[in-house]
Amino acid sequence: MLIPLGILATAGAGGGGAYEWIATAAGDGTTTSTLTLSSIPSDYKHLQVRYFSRSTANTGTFSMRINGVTTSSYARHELIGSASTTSSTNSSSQTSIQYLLGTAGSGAPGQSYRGGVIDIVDYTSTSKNKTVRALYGGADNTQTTKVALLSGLFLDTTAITSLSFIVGSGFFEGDTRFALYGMRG
Amino acid sequence: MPTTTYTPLANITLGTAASSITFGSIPATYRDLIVIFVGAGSTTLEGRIRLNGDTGANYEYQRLSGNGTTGSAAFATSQTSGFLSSIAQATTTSSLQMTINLCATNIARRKVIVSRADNAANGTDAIVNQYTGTVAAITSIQILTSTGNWAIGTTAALYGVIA
Repeated sequence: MLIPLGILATAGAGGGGAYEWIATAAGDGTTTSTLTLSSIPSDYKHLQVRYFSRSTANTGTFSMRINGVTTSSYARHELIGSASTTSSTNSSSQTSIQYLLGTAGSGAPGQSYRGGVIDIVDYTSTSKNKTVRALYGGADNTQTTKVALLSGLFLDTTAITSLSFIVGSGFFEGDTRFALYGMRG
Repeated sequence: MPTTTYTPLANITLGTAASSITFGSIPATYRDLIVIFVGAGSTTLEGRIRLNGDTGANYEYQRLSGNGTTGSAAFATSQTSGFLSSIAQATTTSSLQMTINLCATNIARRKVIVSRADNAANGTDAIVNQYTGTVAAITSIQILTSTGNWAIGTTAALYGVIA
Protein backbone atom coordinates (compact mmCIF):
# COMPACT_ATOMS: atom_id res chain seq x y z
CA MET A 1 0.00 0.00 0.00
CA LEU A 2 1.29 3.43 -0.87
CA ILE A 3 2.14 5.64 2.07
CA PRO A 4 -0.58 8.30 2.09
CA LEU A 5 0.89 11.78 1.98
CA GLY A 6 -1.63 14.61 1.76
CA ILE A 7 0.75 17.49 2.05
CA LEU A 8 2.78 15.98 4.87
CA ALA A 9 4.71 12.76 4.56
CA THR A 10 4.36 10.79 7.75
CA ALA A 11 5.93 7.36 7.82
CA GLY A 12 3.32 4.71 8.36
CA ALA A 13 0.39 7.12 8.34
CA GLY A 14 -3.06 5.93 7.36
CA GLY A 15 -4.87 2.67 7.70
CA GLY A 16 -3.48 1.49 11.03
CA GLY A 17 -4.76 4.29 13.28
CA ALA A 18 -1.95 6.81 12.81
CA TYR A 19 -4.27 9.45 11.27
CA GLU A 20 -7.32 10.38 13.32
CA TRP A 21 -10.19 12.81 12.90
CA ILE A 22 -10.30 14.91 16.08
CA ALA A 23 -13.01 17.52 15.53
CA THR A 24 -14.81 19.69 12.97
CA ALA A 25 -15.92 23.30 13.24
CA ALA A 26 -18.79 24.14 10.90
CA GLY A 27 -20.28 27.35 9.56
CA ASP A 28 -23.98 28.19 9.83
CA GLY A 29 -24.23 31.31 7.70
CA THR A 30 -25.68 33.47 10.49
CA THR A 31 -23.50 33.43 13.62
CA THR A 32 -20.16 31.84 12.74
CA SER A 33 -17.69 34.63 12.06
CA THR A 34 -15.11 32.63 14.00
CA LEU A 35 -14.69 28.88 14.00
CA THR A 36 -12.55 27.43 16.75
CA LEU A 37 -10.98 24.03 17.25
CA SER A 38 -10.19 23.92 20.94
CA SER A 39 -8.95 21.50 23.58
CA ILE A 40 -6.63 19.94 21.03
CA PRO A 41 -5.17 16.79 22.59
CA SER A 42 -1.42 16.65 23.04
CA ASP A 43 -0.83 13.03 22.14
CA TYR A 44 -0.25 13.45 18.39
CA LYS A 45 2.93 14.36 16.58
CA HIS A 46 1.51 16.67 13.88
CA LEU A 47 -1.82 18.24 13.00
CA GLN A 48 -3.63 18.71 9.72
CA VAL A 49 -6.63 20.90 8.97
CA ARG A 50 -8.67 20.24 5.83
CA TYR A 51 -11.04 23.08 5.01
CA PHE A 52 -13.88 23.98 2.62
CA SER A 53 -15.15 27.53 2.91
CA ARG A 54 -17.50 30.24 1.71
CA SER A 55 -18.34 33.60 3.31
CA THR A 56 -21.71 35.34 3.39
CA ALA A 57 -19.98 38.62 2.52
CA ASN A 58 -18.11 39.59 -0.59
CA THR A 59 -14.74 38.88 0.97
CA GLY A 60 -12.19 36.26 0.10
CA THR A 61 -10.05 36.32 3.22
CA PHE A 62 -9.93 34.43 6.44
CA SER A 63 -7.30 34.44 9.17
CA MET A 64 -5.92 31.83 11.51
CA ARG A 65 -4.89 32.37 15.12
CA ILE A 66 -3.19 29.93 17.44
CA ASN A 67 -4.07 29.58 21.14
CA GLY A 68 -6.17 32.73 20.91
CA VAL A 69 -3.06 34.88 20.57
CA THR A 70 -3.94 38.26 19.04
CA THR A 71 -0.56 39.97 19.39
CA SER A 72 1.92 40.56 16.56
CA SER A 73 3.28 37.03 16.77
CA TYR A 74 2.76 35.77 13.23
CA ALA A 75 4.57 35.90 9.90
CA ARG A 76 3.97 34.34 6.51
CA HIS A 77 5.36 33.85 3.02
CA GLU A 78 3.39 32.81 -0.05
CA LEU A 79 4.07 31.64 -3.58
CA ILE A 80 1.01 32.45 -5.67
CA GLY A 81 -0.49 31.72 -9.05
CA SER A 82 -3.40 33.94 -10.02
CA ALA A 83 -4.69 34.04 -13.60
CA SER A 84 -1.45 34.18 -15.63
CA THR A 85 0.60 35.88 -12.92
CA THR A 86 3.06 34.36 -10.48
CA SER A 87 4.04 36.29 -7.38
CA SER A 88 5.51 35.96 -3.95
CA THR A 89 4.54 37.87 -0.83
CA ASN A 90 5.63 38.08 2.74
CA SER A 91 4.49 39.76 5.92
CA SER A 92 5.80 39.85 9.46
CA SER A 93 4.63 41.13 12.84
CA GLN A 94 1.08 40.14 12.00
CA THR A 95 -1.78 39.51 14.43
CA SER A 96 -2.82 36.37 12.53
CA ILE A 97 -1.88 34.25 9.53
CA GLN A 98 -3.99 35.48 6.66
CA TYR A 99 -5.27 33.29 3.86
CA LEU A 100 -5.99 35.92 1.22
CA LEU A 101 -8.60 34.71 -1.29
CA GLY A 102 -8.75 31.50 0.72
CA THR A 103 -12.52 31.50 0.95
CA ALA A 104 -15.21 32.00 -1.65
CA GLY A 105 -17.34 35.08 -1.06
CA SER A 106 -20.89 36.06 -1.91
CA GLY A 107 -19.72 37.21 -5.33
CA ALA A 108 -18.73 33.68 -6.29
CA PRO A 109 -21.17 31.53 -8.27
CA GLY A 110 -23.73 29.76 -6.15
CA GLN A 111 -22.48 26.48 -4.68
CA SER A 112 -18.84 27.59 -5.11
CA TYR A 113 -16.48 27.20 -2.20
CA ARG A 114 -12.71 27.27 -1.80
CA GLY A 115 -10.54 24.73 -0.05
CA GLY A 116 -7.17 23.69 1.21
CA VAL A 117 -4.98 21.54 3.38
CA ILE A 118 -3.03 23.05 6.29
CA ASP A 119 -0.24 21.18 8.08
CA ILE A 120 1.17 22.09 11.49
CA VAL A 121 4.35 20.27 12.32
CA ASP A 122 5.47 19.28 15.83
CA TYR A 123 2.67 21.27 17.45
CA THR A 124 3.33 20.11 21.02
CA SER A 125 6.94 21.26 21.14
CA THR A 126 7.73 23.71 23.92
CA SER A 127 11.15 24.54 22.52
CA LYS A 128 10.26 25.55 18.96
CA ASN A 129 8.22 28.24 17.31
CA LYS A 130 5.43 26.70 15.27
CA THR A 131 5.48 26.27 11.50
CA VAL A 132 2.33 26.15 9.40
CA ARG A 133 2.22 25.22 5.74
CA ALA A 134 -0.70 25.17 3.39
CA LEU A 135 -1.84 24.49 -0.13
CA TYR A 136 -5.09 26.31 -0.84
CA GLY A 137 -7.11 28.33 -3.30
CA GLY A 138 -10.08 28.50 -5.59
CA ALA A 139 -10.90 28.55 -9.27
CA ASP A 140 -14.43 30.00 -9.12
CA ASN A 141 -14.06 32.50 -11.89
CA THR A 142 -16.20 35.43 -10.75
CA GLN A 143 -13.67 36.10 -8.01
CA THR A 144 -9.93 36.47 -8.40
CA THR A 145 -8.68 32.93 -8.80
CA LYS A 146 -5.73 31.78 -6.76
CA VAL A 147 -3.60 28.81 -5.87
CA ALA A 148 -1.03 29.33 -3.17
CA LEU A 149 1.70 27.61 -1.22
CA LEU A 150 1.84 29.28 2.17
CA SER A 151 4.41 29.06 4.91
CA GLY A 152 3.34 30.54 8.23
CA LEU A 153 5.15 31.12 11.48
CA PHE A 154 3.82 31.48 15.01
CA LEU A 155 6.57 33.08 17.09
CA ASP A 156 5.72 31.25 20.26
CA THR A 157 7.07 28.04 21.77
CA THR A 158 3.87 27.21 23.63
CA ALA A 159 2.23 23.95 22.64
CA ILE A 160 -0.82 24.43 20.43
CA THR A 161 -4.14 23.78 22.14
CA SER A 162 -6.51 25.74 19.91
CA LEU A 163 -6.87 27.01 16.36
CA SER A 164 -9.28 29.76 15.36
CA PHE A 165 -10.39 30.69 11.87
CA ILE A 166 -11.85 34.18 11.47
CA VAL A 167 -13.68 35.25 8.33
CA GLY A 168 -12.72 38.67 6.97
CA SER A 169 -16.31 39.87 6.80
CA GLY A 170 -19.75 38.40 7.35
CA PHE A 171 -20.04 34.81 8.45
CA PHE A 172 -18.86 31.44 7.32
CA GLU A 173 -21.62 29.93 5.20
CA GLY A 174 -23.33 26.68 6.00
CA ASP A 175 -21.33 23.67 4.75
CA THR A 176 -18.12 25.51 5.60
CA ARG A 177 -15.94 23.02 7.44
CA PHE A 178 -12.57 23.22 9.18
CA ALA A 179 -11.77 19.63 10.11
CA LEU A 180 -8.85 18.79 12.40
CA TYR A 181 -6.81 15.60 12.18
CA GLY A 182 -3.97 14.31 14.30
CA MET A 183 -1.07 12.22 13.07
CA ARG A 184 0.78 9.95 15.41
CA GLY A 185 4.48 9.38 15.10
CA MET B 1 -13.62 10.78 20.63
CA PRO B 2 -10.97 10.76 17.86
CA THR B 3 -11.78 8.46 14.99
CA THR B 4 -9.26 6.65 12.84
CA THR B 5 -9.68 7.71 9.25
CA TYR B 6 -7.68 8.04 6.01
CA THR B 7 -9.19 4.72 4.99
CA PRO B 8 -7.65 2.83 2.06
CA LEU B 9 -10.42 2.28 -0.50
CA ALA B 10 -8.65 1.00 -3.60
CA ASN B 11 -5.21 0.50 -5.04
CA ILE B 12 -4.58 0.13 -8.78
CA THR B 13 -1.31 -0.83 -10.46
CA LEU B 14 -1.23 -0.94 -14.24
CA GLY B 15 -0.14 -4.26 -15.71
CA THR B 16 -0.75 -2.83 -19.17
CA ALA B 17 -0.20 0.75 -20.31
CA ALA B 18 -3.48 2.65 -20.26
CA SER B 19 -4.78 6.13 -20.98
CA SER B 20 -6.68 6.31 -17.70
CA ILE B 21 -7.06 4.89 -14.24
CA THR B 22 -10.58 4.85 -12.82
CA PHE B 23 -11.87 4.50 -9.29
CA GLY B 24 -15.57 3.65 -9.39
CA SER B 25 -18.39 2.84 -6.98
CA ILE B 26 -16.93 5.22 -4.41
CA PRO B 27 -19.13 5.24 -1.28
CA ALA B 28 -20.54 8.59 -0.19
CA THR B 29 -19.32 7.99 3.35
CA TYR B 30 -16.29 10.25 3.14
CA ARG B 31 -16.07 14.01 3.20
CA ASP B 32 -12.70 14.17 1.44
CA LEU B 33 -11.09 11.76 -0.99
CA ILE B 34 -7.36 11.59 -1.60
CA VAL B 35 -5.56 10.02 -4.54
CA ILE B 36 -1.86 9.28 -4.28
CA PHE B 37 -0.39 8.67 -7.73
CA VAL B 38 3.08 7.54 -8.75
CA GLY B 39 3.77 6.80 -12.37
CA ALA B 40 5.19 7.72 -15.73
CA GLY B 41 3.87 8.44 -19.18
CA SER B 42 4.59 6.89 -22.54
CA THR B 43 5.14 10.33 -24.04
CA THR B 44 5.09 14.00 -23.14
CA LEU B 45 1.68 14.49 -21.57
CA GLU B 46 -0.48 16.31 -19.04
CA GLY B 47 -2.26 14.62 -16.18
CA ARG B 48 -6.02 15.28 -16.15
CA ILE B 49 -8.99 14.33 -13.98
CA ARG B 50 -12.70 13.68 -14.51
CA LEU B 51 -15.39 13.19 -11.92
CA ASN B 52 -18.43 10.94 -12.22
CA GLY B 53 -17.57 10.26 -15.85
CA ASP B 54 -18.45 13.83 -16.83
CA THR B 55 -16.86 14.70 -20.19
CA GLY B 56 -18.65 18.04 -20.45
CA ALA B 57 -17.03 21.47 -20.25
CA ASN B 58 -17.47 21.53 -16.48
CA TYR B 59 -13.98 22.01 -15.12
CA GLU B 60 -11.95 25.09 -14.37
CA TYR B 61 -8.54 25.38 -12.83
CA GLN B 62 -5.83 27.72 -11.61
CA ARG B 63 -2.29 26.39 -11.71
CA LEU B 64 1.15 27.50 -10.52
CA SER B 65 4.06 25.76 -12.21
CA GLY B 66 7.82 25.67 -12.27
CA ASN B 67 9.96 23.85 -14.83
CA GLY B 68 13.35 24.50 -13.30
CA THR B 69 13.88 27.65 -15.33
CA THR B 70 10.64 29.59 -15.27
CA GLY B 71 7.66 29.99 -12.99
CA SER B 72 4.28 30.29 -14.68
CA ALA B 73 0.58 30.43 -13.89
CA ALA B 74 -2.58 29.93 -15.86
CA PHE B 75 -6.34 29.97 -15.37
CA ALA B 76 -8.71 28.11 -17.66
CA THR B 77 -12.46 27.63 -17.67
CA SER B 78 -14.95 25.41 -19.49
CA GLN B 79 -12.52 22.54 -19.75
CA THR B 80 -13.63 18.97 -20.46
CA SER B 81 -11.37 17.67 -17.71
CA GLY B 82 -9.57 19.05 -14.70
CA PHE B 83 -5.86 19.71 -14.73
CA LEU B 84 -3.37 17.79 -12.60
CA SER B 85 0.08 18.10 -14.12
CA SER B 86 1.81 20.26 -16.69
CA ILE B 87 4.99 18.30 -16.40
CA ALA B 88 6.37 16.83 -19.57
CA GLN B 89 6.57 13.12 -18.97
CA ALA B 90 8.59 11.52 -21.69
CA THR B 91 10.28 8.53 -20.10
CA THR B 92 9.26 5.47 -18.16
CA THR B 93 12.09 5.86 -15.69
CA SER B 94 11.23 9.34 -14.51
CA SER B 95 8.42 9.17 -12.01
CA LEU B 96 5.62 11.67 -11.53
CA GLN B 97 4.10 11.88 -8.08
CA MET B 98 0.74 13.53 -7.56
CA THR B 99 -1.16 14.10 -4.34
CA ILE B 100 -4.77 14.95 -5.18
CA ASN B 101 -7.09 16.22 -2.45
CA LEU B 102 -10.80 16.25 -3.37
CA CYS B 103 -12.69 18.41 -0.88
CA ALA B 104 -16.25 17.96 0.37
CA THR B 105 -16.97 15.15 -2.04
CA ASN B 106 -20.23 14.10 -0.37
CA ILE B 107 -21.66 17.59 0.18
CA ALA B 108 -24.09 19.14 -2.31
CA ARG B 109 -21.73 21.93 -3.34
CA ARG B 110 -19.33 22.38 -6.23
CA LYS B 111 -16.29 20.19 -5.71
CA VAL B 112 -12.85 21.68 -5.12
CA ILE B 113 -9.63 19.80 -5.81
CA VAL B 114 -6.27 21.00 -4.49
CA SER B 115 -3.28 19.07 -5.71
CA ARG B 116 0.46 18.92 -6.14
CA ALA B 117 2.39 17.30 -8.98
CA ASP B 118 6.10 16.69 -8.62
CA ASN B 119 8.72 15.29 -10.94
CA ALA B 120 12.24 16.29 -10.02
CA ALA B 121 13.44 15.70 -13.56
CA ASN B 122 10.89 18.06 -15.11
CA GLY B 123 9.11 20.39 -12.73
CA THR B 124 6.40 20.94 -10.17
CA ASP B 125 2.79 22.17 -10.06
CA ALA B 126 0.36 23.42 -7.45
CA ILE B 127 -3.19 23.42 -8.78
CA VAL B 128 -6.74 24.11 -7.67
CA ASN B 129 -9.65 22.80 -9.73
CA GLN B 130 -13.34 23.53 -9.44
CA TYR B 131 -15.88 21.13 -10.88
CA THR B 132 -18.94 23.03 -12.08
CA GLY B 133 -21.02 20.00 -13.05
CA THR B 134 -23.41 18.23 -10.72
CA VAL B 135 -23.15 18.92 -6.99
CA ALA B 136 -24.01 15.29 -6.33
CA ALA B 137 -21.56 13.13 -4.42
CA ILE B 138 -18.50 11.90 -6.26
CA THR B 139 -18.87 8.24 -7.17
CA SER B 140 -16.02 7.89 -9.65
CA ILE B 141 -12.64 9.49 -10.26
CA GLN B 142 -10.72 9.09 -13.49
CA ILE B 143 -7.02 10.01 -13.71
CA LEU B 144 -6.28 10.32 -17.39
CA THR B 145 -3.62 11.48 -19.79
CA SER B 146 -3.97 14.31 -22.26
CA THR B 147 -2.35 12.02 -24.84
CA GLY B 148 -0.65 8.65 -24.79
CA ASN B 149 -0.73 6.27 -21.86
CA TRP B 150 0.27 5.89 -18.27
CA ALA B 151 3.11 3.36 -18.24
CA ILE B 152 3.08 -0.18 -16.89
CA GLY B 153 3.71 -0.07 -13.15
CA THR B 154 1.92 3.25 -12.63
CA THR B 155 0.15 3.11 -9.27
CA ALA B 156 -2.76 5.04 -7.83
CA ALA B 157 -4.31 4.64 -4.39
CA LEU B 158 -7.61 6.10 -3.19
CA TYR B 159 -8.26 7.02 0.45
CA GLY B 160 -11.36 8.29 2.18
CA VAL B 161 -11.33 10.82 5.02
CA ILE B 162 -14.32 11.46 7.28
CA ALA B 163 -15.16 14.71 9.03
